[in-house]
Amino acid sequence: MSRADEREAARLLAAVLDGAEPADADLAATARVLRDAAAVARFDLSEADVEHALEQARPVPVAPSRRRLGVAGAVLAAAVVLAAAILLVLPFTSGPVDVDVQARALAALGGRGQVLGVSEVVRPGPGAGFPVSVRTGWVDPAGGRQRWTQTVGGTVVTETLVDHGRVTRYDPATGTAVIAASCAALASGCAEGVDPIAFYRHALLAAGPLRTHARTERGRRVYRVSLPVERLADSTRIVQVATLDAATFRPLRIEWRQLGADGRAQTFATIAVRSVLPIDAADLSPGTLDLELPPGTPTTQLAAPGQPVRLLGVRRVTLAEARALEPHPWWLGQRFRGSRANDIAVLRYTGGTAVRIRYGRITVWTYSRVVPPPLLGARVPEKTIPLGGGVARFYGTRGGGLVGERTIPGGTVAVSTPGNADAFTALTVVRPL
Amino acid sequence: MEGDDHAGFQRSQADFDALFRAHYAEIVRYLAARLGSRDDAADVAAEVFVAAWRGVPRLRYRGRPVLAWLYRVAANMASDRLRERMRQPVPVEVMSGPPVADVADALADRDALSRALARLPADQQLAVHLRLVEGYSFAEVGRLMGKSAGACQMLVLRAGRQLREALEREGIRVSS
Repeated sequence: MSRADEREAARLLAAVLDGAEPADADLAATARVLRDAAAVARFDLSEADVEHALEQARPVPVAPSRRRLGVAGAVLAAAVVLAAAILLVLPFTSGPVDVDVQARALAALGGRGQVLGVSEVVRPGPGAGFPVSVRTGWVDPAGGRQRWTQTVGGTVVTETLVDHGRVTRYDPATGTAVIAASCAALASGCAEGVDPIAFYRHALLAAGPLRTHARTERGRRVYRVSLPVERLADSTRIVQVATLDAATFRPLRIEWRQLGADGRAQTFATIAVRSVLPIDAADLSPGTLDLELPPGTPTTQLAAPGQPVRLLGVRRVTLAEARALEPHPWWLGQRFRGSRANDIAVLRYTGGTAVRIRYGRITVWTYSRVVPPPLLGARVPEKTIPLGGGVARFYGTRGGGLVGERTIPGGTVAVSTPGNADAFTALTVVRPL
Repeated sequence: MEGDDHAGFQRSQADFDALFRAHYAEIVRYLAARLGSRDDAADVAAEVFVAAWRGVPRLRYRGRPVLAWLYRVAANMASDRLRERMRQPVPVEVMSGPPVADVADALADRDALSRALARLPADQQLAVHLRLVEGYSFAEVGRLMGKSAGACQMLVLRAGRQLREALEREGIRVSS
């Protein structure tokens, strides 16, 4: 396209954005995406927020000097003022005082022989809108145990126990349980198998000295610290940005952020800490840190982690052969999003098998004891939502896609998609072959 | 646009509170899109206005409103904040994948759009912000950015194309 054509295209787009009818579908689509992007970026600040920010930002007025002072008087006054200023202000001229908050933040999470009663609200980041979930439970750092209940809209979606790294996850909706020797064996990784406060504590321990200064936020004195979580293959980093109460050093809010290689950040989950209450372990009722599964609960034992899962073989099968497999693989029907189910394979790994059905760039996996390596997730908070009488979990994979998974009798069905779209829809329509 | 003549410019120089009330929200919105965090945006916006209080009285009128200068300061401070983030030491630990995405198509689209918007070049992002988020005319966008209206239209066109490409890379089809 020549420069003149480009200018004309820009002028026509400007006219469409001003309300003119688009001349063609391409122009209309470009205008649409710009309007949608603007809608995402648009939000309002309340008058109270603006006034509060103004109070914080408003400079202190400086008294005007008196013009009628004689030169000698002015010099003398200036000297006196200067001397007073030096005496009074010098200790504070370095601005806000940085303090190391690491030790006090750790101390605020309890000491020897104490467990933490925790209650957290997990909210999506800007642009998202999945249901808010609430986690309540207990973390026993010394005893290596965590036990929590996760609810969405008042419905219990999971009961979880972590005992020295071994994760037991019970799904009340389906009455099934998954046991993994470590959170790493769960497809969605340690975000699912570790409580956010426990994760925060771990990051604090690893962080070393954290020098920062107090600031005022919504009328409250707080410290804010950034705790690294991990660096991804593409130089993207995941950090926790924790806001601590300056008086108690307890966490008020933990934001999970992704920092791109270009330094830009995206908050994908915010954990509002409703309470962190250290209490003596001896005062805890017996059984508080246990999870007793109902008798007869169908349980899937995931393959032990730490042992590399190797692909031993791939066998392509026909649709008829796939139907004969036990247990039945799940699928999305003959076609999904315009693509046929055209590549059905049984993959044999050390520790178990999985069935893979491809629909173009969308893949459906059915597995039980071993999580296929392409599904292994990042250690970021997964999203858990009620779905069709069960629970669906969503997480990012190491390969750059999105996976939605749900527990099925005898195992798990997972749908992996290259981007953000389709995983939710696919998981609502996936069914036994 | 407030303060778009010499008298308005002088009023803005004299009344910090009015300047703040008039433009704080839009500077926060702009910074939130650049930085990907409303908290960080509020922090940096406060610094922008402290800088404004110090610097605005010394500004000379050159035919552009004080708001143009506020946006320039905000853009520079956003760049500084982004560079600062790049310098934060992060230990290399586990290799894994991208952020968790949204669960429904529409929400996923919003998430992808938000990311794509944040990745636009700074001048395209500012042009989109001024024209479509804040609703300034292209003539006003041109005055604020110190460019011609046509140049700003070109920036918005390129931004629109880049946004579409970014969404299509994520498998999101953009229809009219």
